[in-house]
Amino acid sequence: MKCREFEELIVDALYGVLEQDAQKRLNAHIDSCRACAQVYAEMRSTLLVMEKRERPDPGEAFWDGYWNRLSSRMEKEETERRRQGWLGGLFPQLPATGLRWAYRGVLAVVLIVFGAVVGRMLLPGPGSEMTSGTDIAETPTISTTETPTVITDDGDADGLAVRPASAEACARQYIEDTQVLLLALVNFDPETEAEYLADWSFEKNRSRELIAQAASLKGDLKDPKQRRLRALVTELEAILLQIANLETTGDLESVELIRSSVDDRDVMLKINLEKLRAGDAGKPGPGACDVW
Amino acid sequence: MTDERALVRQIQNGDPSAFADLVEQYKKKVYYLALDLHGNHHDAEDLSQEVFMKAYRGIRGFRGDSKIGSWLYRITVNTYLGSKKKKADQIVMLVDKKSDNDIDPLEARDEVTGNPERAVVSRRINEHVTAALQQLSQQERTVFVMRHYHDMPLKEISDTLNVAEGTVKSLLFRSIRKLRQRLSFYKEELGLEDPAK
Repeated sequence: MKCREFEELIVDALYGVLEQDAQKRLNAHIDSCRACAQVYAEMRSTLLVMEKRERPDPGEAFWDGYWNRLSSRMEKEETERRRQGWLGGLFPQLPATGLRWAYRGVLAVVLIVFGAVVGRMLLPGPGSEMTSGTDIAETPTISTTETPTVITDDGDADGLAVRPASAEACARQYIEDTQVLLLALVNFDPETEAEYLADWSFEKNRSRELIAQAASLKGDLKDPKQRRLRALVTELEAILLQIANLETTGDLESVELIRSSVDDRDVMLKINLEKLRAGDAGKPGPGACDVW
Repeated sequence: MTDERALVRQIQNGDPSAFADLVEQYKKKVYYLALDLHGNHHDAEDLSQEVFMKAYRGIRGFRGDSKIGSWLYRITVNTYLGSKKKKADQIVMLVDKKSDNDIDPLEARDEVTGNPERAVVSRRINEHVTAALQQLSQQERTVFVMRHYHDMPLKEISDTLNVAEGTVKSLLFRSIRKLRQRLSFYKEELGLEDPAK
């Protein structure tokens, strides 16, 4: 056995948890190896010094007031959370997760329609000075069931042409979709939603879909310039895997771990930075990434 | 059903006084682990409170597979390892650079209530050891304090950190050797003879 292989035995011996046979082997080695004998002795003396440490007692007043300080901090954070969550009014606590998602979906559609109406009223339409000069008779319709597309203006006689979405654009779509999913988990608050057991079936299914996309995307993000994007896709894939492995209901301990993981790795920050870098460029059209 | 399980069940059912009981029962253990990890009172209190807040939010997911104390330790360590303050921890305040005004009021208590000479020596040892601990990496420090000051078995440490037991032993070995380097010249100054020699 080499000296290095005795390291684990030394650690066990220092804390007195080494079995008798192993202790005999270690003793035999130490008797014959001066270097290891010195290391062992030095480490023992170090632990003796560490034993001399006395942790200061913060005092009775500290302990007596501990609960009061903790509970007032909890109340303060709860108040702050409610105050910051002005959007919360739009998302009332509904009795079931499915219903809540349906409500949010309806709300999203209403907002999109509202945005479209406002947009049509305020922005110049096709044929105005803002178009490229070629009259476009009709707004092109894009099928979401056909080949994945992005709309590009390539000077084609028809004014608009289509081409497959790039892996990079689809990666950004994947990141955005994952962010939406993560937000649902990160913002899940068991304190207020506790009476209804969390139902993760939607999140699990969506995660599985995104994991499938990630596998194809990683194969296509080969360019060295896309290394950062590929790394983010991989990092998100690991978190998606955790979500996909959640139990269908409850499992709040795992949800908390996922939240910590997202927080610890600054995942949201990385996503936002990636979105900032990309801007609106390269966003694929609707359904353009279905193949990934 | 054990008392602990009953207490957890009560908290899960939304009984705030049960949560207060849990805090009362574990506040010292969590605080001292946080103190060993951070090396100062203020961060230790902050971390310990954060642990209880996380525990309160996540208690419904606690299934009782482990003891509540182990669960709280795990939250403490994970919160610490993920703490944004880790960079700040790298800035070690060495004793000799401190002025008298920098003395932590908590550490000064011994001087008022006990033997002043003993308090000075004790304070110096604490400062030396704390400074040495703070020079370890976060993982090394975590493993060392869990084993040395909280007497946690290697298996429990490896479960908490989600690493192999062999890794825990390597980290321990490395941390003790580093501590030795940091404390080697203090040792003689403090007159702590090595009985092995």
